[in-house]
Amino acid sequence: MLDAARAGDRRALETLLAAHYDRVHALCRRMLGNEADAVDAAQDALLSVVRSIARFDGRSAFGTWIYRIATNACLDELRRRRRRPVVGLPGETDDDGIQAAAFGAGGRDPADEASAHVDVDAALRQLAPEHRAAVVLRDVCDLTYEEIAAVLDVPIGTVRSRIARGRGALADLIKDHEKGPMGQEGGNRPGDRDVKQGDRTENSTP
Amino acid sequence: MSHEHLSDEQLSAYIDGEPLDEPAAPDVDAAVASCAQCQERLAALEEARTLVRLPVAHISRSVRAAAVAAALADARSDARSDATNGSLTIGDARSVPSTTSVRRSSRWARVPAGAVAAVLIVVALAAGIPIALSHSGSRPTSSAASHAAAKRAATAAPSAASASGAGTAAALPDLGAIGSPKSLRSHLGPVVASGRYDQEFNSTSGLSALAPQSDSAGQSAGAPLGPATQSTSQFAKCVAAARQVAGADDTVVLVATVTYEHSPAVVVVVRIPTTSGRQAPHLAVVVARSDCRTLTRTSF
Repeated sequence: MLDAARAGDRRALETLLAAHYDRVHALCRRMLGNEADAVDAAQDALLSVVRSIARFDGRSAFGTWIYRIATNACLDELRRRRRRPVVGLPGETDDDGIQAAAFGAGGRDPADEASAHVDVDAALRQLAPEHRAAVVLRDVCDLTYEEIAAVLDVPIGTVRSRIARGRGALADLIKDHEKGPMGQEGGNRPGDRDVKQGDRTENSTP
Repeated sequence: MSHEHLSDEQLSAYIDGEPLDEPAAPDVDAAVASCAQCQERLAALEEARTLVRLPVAHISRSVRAAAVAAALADARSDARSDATNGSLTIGDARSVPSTTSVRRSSRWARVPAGAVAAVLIVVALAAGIPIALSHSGSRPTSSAASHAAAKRAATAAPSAASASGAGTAAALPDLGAIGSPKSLRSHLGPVVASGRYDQEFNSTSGLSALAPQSDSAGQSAGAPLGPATQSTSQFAKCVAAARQVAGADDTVVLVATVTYEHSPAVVVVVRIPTTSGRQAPHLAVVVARSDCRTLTRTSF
């Protein structure tokens, strides 16, 4: 199937893309925190795959490759988001829109239904993008640390550290949740105070 | 935690079944079994993992198919454009962007309207989706004209569709200028609650009359067909695109024009089948009329 797609078989490529779309969308959804941006980032990722499929050399699994493209699309979007001014009427916040837009094509995000006490997206927004990416690739995409290292192009030790720091921060957020609402993206990260112990391999060699 | 406790890194790797890259890796099982604090932290990390693993919204088959088809059409049009400019075809190294992501605005700006329109309309028709559009000859012939018409209509917003039921883009309800999902919801709520347009957009005659001429010429039962225009095709494409994003199987209760974040746009509101009392009953999708990209979606 992959060989056929690389050779220009559009039906094969269509099948490949359809097979991976849900996971790519889920990755983007958890990385970006809202459905509209997730759909766009997933679309960007699919387009990049279509445009570069013939160059895919097969050294990594196709899934790893497409996750890498999608992750980069999300990180690009997060960088753009930092630069982009919020457009809205007085008294209306972007967060409100994001929360309101957190509905998939088929309805409300099941995670919002299942975790009535913790907003998954709000919690993930508290994480630095690189930590968020590592956690999402592990827990949403079920990649191994080695695969995540390939996706992010970092050593395995860094992956281990990032996942630990991300999870540690989330654990602290869950614990602290009753003390107040979760804040804006890139705000204070309660978990940072407790994850120093797991910080030693950041930027280390494998 | 003291230095004797396991670190988050050790516990997290333990949860994932990943080896620790340490010369003297601790016996995590034994350490956890003998330390209440480590047990507590392990449980907290597992809870965090469980939270992230909760599933996201289900993707319907039609939405998945539309996304894939759009990407293929998108790349095909890029390839044609590149070939015109002396580049090579899809998949060639020179056609791959320098970054993995393509800037949305520039990407959509490059997409010929016909390519995406064809894909989305074909998908919509294949899925049995009624495309709500009108064919009155009074419709504007450009997005700028549409915008101006929408502005005029906004003075009486939300104005009703034409009495004949063959509403044009300009005669559709217009919500005026809106800058956020919250404002959109506040505008849409009363209009949808009135039920005024519900029947119109779901009646057989209304839907067939609103179908694009190129797709249903001679099939319209209830409205005069005017000459097909580029604006009509574009509007039809955008309505179909919005329907795909909203969930093609859901019932349309409103199609309206809006100026969203300064962009002329069309909003399609569908009724979401209610499976629980907590679920919002309506989903609104706003797409830009210039290129049909999704500007926002919100439920209310």
